[in-house]
Amino acid sequence: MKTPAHDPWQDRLSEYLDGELAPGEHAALERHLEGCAACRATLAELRAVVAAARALGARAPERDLWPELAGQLAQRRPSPRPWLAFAAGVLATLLGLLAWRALATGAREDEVAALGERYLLLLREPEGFGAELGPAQQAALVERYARWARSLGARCLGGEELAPERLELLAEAEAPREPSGGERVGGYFVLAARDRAEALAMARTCPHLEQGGSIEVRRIQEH
Amino acid sequence: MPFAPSADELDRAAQAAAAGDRAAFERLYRGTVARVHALARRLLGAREAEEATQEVYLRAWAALPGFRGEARVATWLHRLARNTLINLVARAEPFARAGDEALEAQAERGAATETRLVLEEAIERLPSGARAVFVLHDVEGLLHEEIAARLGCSVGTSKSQLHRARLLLRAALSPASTP
Repeated sequence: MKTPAHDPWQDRLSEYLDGELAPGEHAALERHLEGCAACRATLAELRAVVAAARALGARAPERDLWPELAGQLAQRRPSPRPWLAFAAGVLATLLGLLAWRALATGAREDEVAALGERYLLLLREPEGFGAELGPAQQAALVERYARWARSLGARCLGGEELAPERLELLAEAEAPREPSGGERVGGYFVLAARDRAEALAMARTCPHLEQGGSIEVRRIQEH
Repeated sequence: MPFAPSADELDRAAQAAAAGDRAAFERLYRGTVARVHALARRLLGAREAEEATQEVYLRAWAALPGFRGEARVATWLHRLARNTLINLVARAEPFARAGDEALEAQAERGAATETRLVLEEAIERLPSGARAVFVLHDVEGLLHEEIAARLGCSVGTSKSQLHRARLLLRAALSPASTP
């Protein structure tokens, strides 16, 4: 069934249907429709297609995808790009251990309060951070971070992993865009310090710098 | 028969899932998967739909802690699904090999008799560019400007591909053309 391709109005029927023709064209096409049975018939068919499309409903997968999906959740695969997932995994391991150690040092509220101000260390990581490390090197690095946290004693109030994929997905929910430059914040620490100079001095000793990351130091506004 | 939870039940499941409750995430998945999968299948075809559906839910699982409950979770999830799937479609360069092979395929009907399924099958046989534009415009209600921006084509192409898709799909709806 071939459509007569020579009637130029045939090509405009969808735009007419969607109300997208300029007023002059719209009026002209209406005049044409009065005298052209073929276009009227096509228009009715197009209208039926649009109505049927609106009426399409949900359609479950033919097999249950949940068991497979649940398995992948268990691996906490955070990103469709493997190297990012890997870098995130390395840092998650580091920070998870750190947070645990920091808590285990027994920092008490009264000691912490006596120390004065709190500072936030934002651990930035360049693209590909940690991707070159083998398992043994990872373990060694974990131990270095852990020693650093222990050396701070009660002044390390904790550190947590920031799920890197959240930034990406939050942005994606509105307007998908890659993070600029490939750099991302991989985690944070909160330190207690008497003043800015002491906070900076502690931050400078963090192994994250030697590892190639950078640290943004911010004072937490106390109220 | 998939269970049909209320919007409130889904929102509660989302809250629990955001806190790491996998059983709650399964409830959210089961309550919404048919709609997500329908869109995945229409946009990407039967072969890729399952993997794409899983990808949507893995992203949702990762993004849920950032979900603030400003919208219903079903709305939030559908938007996330749509964005994820459009990106997958765009990556496959739907306009790269726009041929007319689908015109012939159109003549062979599938086994389905119900109008809805006949139409679904006909959509799957559309050329990829026309299919993407049709699904996004006529099923999802997106505007040509948005479709063009997301798929990397001109507004004119989006309009002409929509018209082409509709013309091709007419046959699926007219029983008279069955021999």
